Amino acid sequence: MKKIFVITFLTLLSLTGFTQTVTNNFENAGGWKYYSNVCWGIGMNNEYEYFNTNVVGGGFTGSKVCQTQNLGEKNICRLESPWTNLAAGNIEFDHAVPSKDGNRKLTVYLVKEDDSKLKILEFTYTDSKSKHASIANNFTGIRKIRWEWTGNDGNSRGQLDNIVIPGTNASDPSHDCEPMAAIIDADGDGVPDTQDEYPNDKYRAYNNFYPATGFGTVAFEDNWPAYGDYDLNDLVMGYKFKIVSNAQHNVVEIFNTMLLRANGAGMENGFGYQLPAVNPGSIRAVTGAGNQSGYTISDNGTETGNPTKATIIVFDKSHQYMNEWNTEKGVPPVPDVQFDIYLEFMKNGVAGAAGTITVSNLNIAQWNPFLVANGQRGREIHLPNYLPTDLADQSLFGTGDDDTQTGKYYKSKTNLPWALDIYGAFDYPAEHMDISQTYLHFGAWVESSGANFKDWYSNTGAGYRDDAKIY
Amino acid sequence: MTSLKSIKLIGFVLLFITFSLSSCQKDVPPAPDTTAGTTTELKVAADFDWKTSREITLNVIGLKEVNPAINNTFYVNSSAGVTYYKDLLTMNQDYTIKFAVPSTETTLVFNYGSKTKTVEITSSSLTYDYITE
Repeated sequence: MKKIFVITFLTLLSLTGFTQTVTNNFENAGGWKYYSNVCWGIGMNNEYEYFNTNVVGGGFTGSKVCQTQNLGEKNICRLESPWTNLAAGNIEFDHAVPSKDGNRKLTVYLVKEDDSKLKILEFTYTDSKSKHASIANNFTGIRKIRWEWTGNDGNSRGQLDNIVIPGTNASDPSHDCEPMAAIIDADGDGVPDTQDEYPNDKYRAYNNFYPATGFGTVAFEDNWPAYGDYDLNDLVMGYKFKIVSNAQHNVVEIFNTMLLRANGAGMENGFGYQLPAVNPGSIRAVTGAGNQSGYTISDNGTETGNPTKATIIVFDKSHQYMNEWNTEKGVPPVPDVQFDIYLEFMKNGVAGAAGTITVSNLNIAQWNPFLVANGQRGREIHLPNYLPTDLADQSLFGTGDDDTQTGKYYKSKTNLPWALDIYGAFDYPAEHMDISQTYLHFGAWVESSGANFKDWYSNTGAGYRDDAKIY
Repeated sequence: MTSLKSIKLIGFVLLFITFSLSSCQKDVPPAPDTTAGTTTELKVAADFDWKTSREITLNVIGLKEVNPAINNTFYVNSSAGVTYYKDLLTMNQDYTIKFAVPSTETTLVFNYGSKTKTVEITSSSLTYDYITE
């Protein structure tokens, strides 16, 4: 029964002459600009010599046609098809000079890549009625169809509609509508070698960075829920994420570099971060973190107790890694302490138990860093309006100067934060130097709700900071 | 003799005035440009997000007529050539992409093969449809 169906189907196909075609009825609402971008040689003011065709209303069928400019102003107007891999069959189209005035002729050519051309139709208009053309074609290979209207008197225009060309599109609209070139892709992942950052690795394709260049900075006050001195140097971390993805847009791995830059605090503070869009089960392994005593860590390296959002503990006690505060003027600084944390999402194309996540859905800018104050796991301090982890001690909310409640997190009653995330490098204040008095446009940035002095943390010009207060 | 003495005296007086005026000025530290003296005195709007970055949602509208499918790398760059985002896009498919830029950024450059389009960041939601002039 199946064999009979297949035979019948194939017979019907051959009887109908089914073949692929390149068509245009000019009905797209985008007009000439749309068709130009999908490689029809059409449009106002483009580079084609004497070229001036447009898409207008009043079509033979549907509502739109391709129409030339007034030939009285130009000696010649033309339209071209995309490069087409021609097949045998009929080239069909409707044409007219609907308000014929003066001498008008339409010539149709097959054009090769070297711009040589072969005339396949010449038609002299004697009236304004629409015509249908059907040109038998036996040529194969890469060609364009070119329609040229010529005339040197009167004021009439040429029109064209309902084009059908036997063959398949061979233009590449992403490369100036040139004929499609063979793609070299050594690992066969679909990303051309010239664009693939891992051309011989089918499991990897791209690196995306956050921040885009250099390091970002998160800076904390650790006295939450009470105010501190707002020197924002109780913990200062530099951070950088390198996100490796594959050709299917999925995250393969993240290389996260963390720099412990300062711990201007008497307390032994820990640091971690949550990836709110990542199920812990999507991570196969985490390596490179520091000591995590006092924390419960799963087999895959994420912290337990946060079942829906992957949580990474970077270290437990800052002073174990940095014995100087790196905030006191006159005390020589010690080098940053670097943590190279590796998060494996996929291995040889196999994802973690909870499946894949795309780079866009990861949305790394939403990473949720937090300080853990003085070894008290529940006393975590986040950026303003960032959610607590499942292990936060919510009994601390609303105490002291804190005003955390539903819809408002880690802000005071006057909407002040206990942490800041700076997109870029940040020269933090020295010990006990209030950030508002160190960065002189910080207050204006805050009180304008971010409208003014978006670059307050830079040293863009004179008057941006009091250098004497910077560590 | 007397006039020479007078000239010298005037000269010394002038020098004295000059030095006294320049040395009287104390080194005044630069001041913040708000009336608030400390951070705790700042007046902060309840909806201020304290962010120095901005998240952008970009809706990519595919050119449905492109056939066969074209695959290329799509870049979101700054005008200085810093890449904020890149990924492989198929030209006839739609995508929703999220990425972040610094709040100071005002312009993005979208690159797809030979197509380049520069847009102003007028909102946190932008659209790109491959159509260029």
